[in-house]
Amino acid sequence: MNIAWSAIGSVAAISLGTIIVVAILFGLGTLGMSRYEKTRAQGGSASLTVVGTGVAFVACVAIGLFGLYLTVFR
Amino acid sequence: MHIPLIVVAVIVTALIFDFTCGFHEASDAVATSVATGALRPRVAVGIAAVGNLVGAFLSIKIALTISNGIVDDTKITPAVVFAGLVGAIMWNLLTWVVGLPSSSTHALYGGLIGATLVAVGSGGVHFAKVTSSFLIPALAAPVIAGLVAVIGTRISYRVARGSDQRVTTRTYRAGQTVSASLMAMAHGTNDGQKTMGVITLALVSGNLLPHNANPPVWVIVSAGIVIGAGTFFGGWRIIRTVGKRLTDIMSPQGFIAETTSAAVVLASAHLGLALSTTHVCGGAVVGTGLGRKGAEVRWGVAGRILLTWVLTLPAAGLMAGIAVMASDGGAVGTVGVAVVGIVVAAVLWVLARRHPVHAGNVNDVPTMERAATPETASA
Repeated sequence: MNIAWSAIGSVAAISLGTIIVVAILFGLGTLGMSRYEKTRAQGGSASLTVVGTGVAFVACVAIGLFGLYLTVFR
Repeated sequence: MHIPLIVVAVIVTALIFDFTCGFHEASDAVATSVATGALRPRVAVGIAAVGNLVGAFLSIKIALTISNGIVDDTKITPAVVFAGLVGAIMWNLLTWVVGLPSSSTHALYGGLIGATLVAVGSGGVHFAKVTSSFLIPALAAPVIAGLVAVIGTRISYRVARGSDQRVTTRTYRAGQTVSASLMAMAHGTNDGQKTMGVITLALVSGNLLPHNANPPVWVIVSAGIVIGAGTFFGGWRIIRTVGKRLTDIMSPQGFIAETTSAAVVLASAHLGLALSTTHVCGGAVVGTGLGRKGAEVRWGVAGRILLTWVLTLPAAGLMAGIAVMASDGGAVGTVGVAVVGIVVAAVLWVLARRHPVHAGNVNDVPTMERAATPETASA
């Protein structure tokens, strides 16, 4: 009987890696968003936070699109 | 052109199965978004319906290998496919009435195996293949998704712990709308195609298409539209169970559950491993409940769901086996099976109407079962 252990292992490894990266990026993005609103409320400027937050969220979307691309076109 | 009755029966039942598949597995994509209030119920199933429709057009890879080698394709007659579909539809309706998620894929293959066993004998079923490509992955799917979701949930709460509660809820709800759409599309690429495969097989066996033909355009279009319509119909009973009864879900958990499910389903589809979206999603929801401190997983509900998953293959097989005995006997048998099927479906529908669950009350669970969280209490 030929059980696809390697495929099962790969699925586990790939999804775990993806989720760790997405969870960290999205968490940082949320943190950035929260700090930005706090700074704005206190009247300060937070352009660096805005850039960081944007990069984190865009990276999350890019990972999702890449996954879709791999499935559909490869 | 003469089209045999049995081929027409297969096409019609395949589309009905496709519809049940849509509402049965709508919960895979929308349950957590509905539960956290990220999307209004009607909007959620609308997005999921479009995702399923789009997904069905994206690829026909799975449609080309309908039975995945678990039964001997050369020995399958339209009567076997018809009986298999009837068994699968009955199981889908039964589990819908009691509000339990179950894999439509396993129901379909259970039906095909049962009908083949009765009509052809054990020589028609490749048992080693059943174990290696269904039973082992079915065990692995919820475990992988569960572990990944536990770790993802822990990380999310750790990284975002310093942020404002309101901002956290808002961003993760927004994230959920994206991850839910991705999950719906992944479901459409997986499950919409099974119907295309079944209809194509019936057309080939009725000599209306050459062997190894691709699904005709009208088959792809109708399968995509029907699974989308089924998804839009809702399947609210199952959405309530997965979103509200299994554990208490807050928006970061919902985001992680959906992202995990999409990652596992897309990765496995890419590597050619046939995991069931239902098993993946169920595992991810339980995992995310284990990952957040203070969330409680209701193991009684989880146990009932697990029992449903174990029973899916044999139960659909048994019903299909009974159906094939009648439908193998020609047109009268086929009509008889169809009539019995319609009557059973009508009875189940009436039973469901006694305790209706719809978009308006999907999140209302008796307080005994629901631990109030700040987020759900305000929603």
